[in-house]
Amino acid sequence: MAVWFGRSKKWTSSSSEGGRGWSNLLTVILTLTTLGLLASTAMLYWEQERSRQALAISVRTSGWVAYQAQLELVRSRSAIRVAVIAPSQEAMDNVGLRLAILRSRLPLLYGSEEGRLLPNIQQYRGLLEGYESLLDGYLDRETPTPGSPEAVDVLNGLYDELAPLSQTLQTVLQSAIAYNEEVYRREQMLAERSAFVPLALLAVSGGLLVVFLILQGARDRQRLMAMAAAEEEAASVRENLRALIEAMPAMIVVYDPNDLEVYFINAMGLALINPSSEHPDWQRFLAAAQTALPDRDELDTGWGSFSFPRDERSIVALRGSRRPITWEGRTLCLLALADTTQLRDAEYQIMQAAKLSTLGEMASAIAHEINQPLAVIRMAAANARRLLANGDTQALQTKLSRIDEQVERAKRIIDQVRSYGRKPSLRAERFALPRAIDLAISFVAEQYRLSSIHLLLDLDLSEDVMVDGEQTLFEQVIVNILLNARDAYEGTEIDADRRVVSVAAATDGIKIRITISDAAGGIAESIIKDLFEPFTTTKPDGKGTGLGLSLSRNIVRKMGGEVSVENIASGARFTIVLPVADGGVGERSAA
Amino acid sequence: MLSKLTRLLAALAIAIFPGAALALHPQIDLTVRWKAQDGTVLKEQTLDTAALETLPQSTFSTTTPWTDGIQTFSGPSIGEIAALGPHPVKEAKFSALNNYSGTLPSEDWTVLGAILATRHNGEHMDVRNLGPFWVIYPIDKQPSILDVQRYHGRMVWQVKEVDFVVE
Repeated sequence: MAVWFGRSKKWTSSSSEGGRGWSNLLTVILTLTTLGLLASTAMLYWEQERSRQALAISVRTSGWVAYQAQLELVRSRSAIRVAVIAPSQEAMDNVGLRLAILRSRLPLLYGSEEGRLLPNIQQYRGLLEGYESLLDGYLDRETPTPGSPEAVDVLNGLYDELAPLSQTLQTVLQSAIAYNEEVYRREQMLAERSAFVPLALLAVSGGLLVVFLILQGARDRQRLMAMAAAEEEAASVRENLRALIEAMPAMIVVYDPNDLEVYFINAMGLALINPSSEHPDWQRFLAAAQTALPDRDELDTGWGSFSFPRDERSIVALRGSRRPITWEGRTLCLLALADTTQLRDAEYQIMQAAKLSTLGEMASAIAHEINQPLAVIRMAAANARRLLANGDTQALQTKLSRIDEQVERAKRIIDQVRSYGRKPSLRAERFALPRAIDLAISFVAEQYRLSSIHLLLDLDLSEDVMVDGEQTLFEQVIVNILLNARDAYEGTEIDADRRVVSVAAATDGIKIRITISDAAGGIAESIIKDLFEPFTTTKPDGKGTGLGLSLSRNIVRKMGGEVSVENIASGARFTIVLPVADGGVGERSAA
Repeated sequence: MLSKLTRLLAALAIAIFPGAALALHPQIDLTVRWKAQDGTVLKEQTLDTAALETLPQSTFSTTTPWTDGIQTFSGPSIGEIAALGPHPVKEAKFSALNNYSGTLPSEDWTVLGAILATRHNGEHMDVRNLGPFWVIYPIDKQPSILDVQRYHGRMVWQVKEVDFVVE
């Protein structure tokens, strides 16, 4: 299917398609980058926040562990002092409990999760374990009697021995506090930076997005401009094409094949059929074209001819083709036709001249033919006069009847001549083929008789086999071939009894095949292939025009048929193949 | 006088079973109170280790922030102790020897499985080893929920008192 203006569209689409592919890739990459940056920002922030919190809590609790131990040491030592100053069993029990609690606190300094965070705690481990043994030693021994000198000694000894532990725990606690402060300072820094880093990342991401959007915007603008330019180009191409179509010396019509609505007609078309595209003539015309021209696709140059009666007086002859087209987005039908009216008229004039020339050629034969009935009439008239004198009315009757018959015969001959010489009707009509063949043959019969040529007829056609075309022109085709056969015998020495021309016709219901064969030696191989071309003749100069067979071929083609020639055993054979007229009204055919 | 006798018995016990004496010295019992919302004491009871071990026992192994490696703890669910009282319990406040305290909502034992451990790796705990009673959660069963500061803070050791607040 032809796509008009398709080329410029294709250019546009292909160029923008490439651009789109590239920009799609860019979009994906930039979007992924931005998303990645955003995600990493969020993750970084979250991670920082989490570790910051975890660290802060652990560090604070680690200080708490040291503080608790310190507190228990102070309580234990004061409990010891109380037991020494105000000895009682209760005070001794309290010392035991306090020391047990202190003992429980010491391993936590280096053995628990919080304790392990204390700075350099592992270096105190041995020292602390020493104190644990000391405490265990006291707790596992039998409690001395309260107030006894032994108890005072033991308690005082313990009190003094625990004094350096206070120093140690103080050191641990202080370093924990210092560490805490350091951590706090770092935390603050981290907090500030953690605010800065995501902000910076966000700024970078945002910046990238802005850059991307600017780039994208620029690309879009560029693409838009390219599209506008392409649109403009397409429009100008369309404009040029319209101008071209308008200026063409052919008729161009674009219409919808379904409802025969007209979309476009060029100036030539308007001038040829009707200046108004709304006129009903157009519907009539398109219907005729639709019927007459075969439905072809774009590769097939399916040319056809048809005539259209514009009004009562003039019939337009047209030649061209019909094909599908995409017109402004619709699937329509394009009709491109050349006006062949003048050509047809010229052909008819030549044909008419040829016929008249044939008539002139045959004038002596016709005269001779008419002479015969006239001679018979004269003799019959003479006899009648004699019989009238004799009063033999019976015989007179017979003579007058003979005169009548002969007048009828002469009239038939004159009718034939008149019929042959009549002008073609310009319009294709349906006619009975056997009758036309008979007419043509009877027209040359006398000529053949004079030239001593036998006509063998084998017409296997019923009377009502119809064909579409111009009858007088078809008759001329047959006459033309028959006279050519006669001319072929003219210059030869062939015996009279071997001068034979056979005319045969047969049909298979679809096509009719007519053959005309002679035995006059055939046509020279050098010209047989150009025989139907104009100005090809086998006759001596001055005799033939060289147009007869060319015109014959045109006539047969316009009837939808074909004419061909070949050499057979002793002569030439012309074959005409014609389609039998179908059930239609016969619009389509020779013009 | 009584304490003197106890002391004597303890000395005797040390002589015969030094290991056992270590665990039992000094003897501390658990004071349990049930209180109304306004603080009125509804019921008060003292339970020693033996009494607590007559209740249905839970045993599980877990790590804790204060011990090295996997430890096995056993003792009654806190819900079993709470059930000794007259009313359903809303929360429990555990107080330690050093007066540290932690408050557990009832979900902590009904849902999260907190127990009051009396035994650590099968042994009774004395004060030196953070005994005699220690609130323990099965941390390793749901580390993502339980191994956090919030529950670490509720794992009160050296428990001496429980105050249940009833609904």
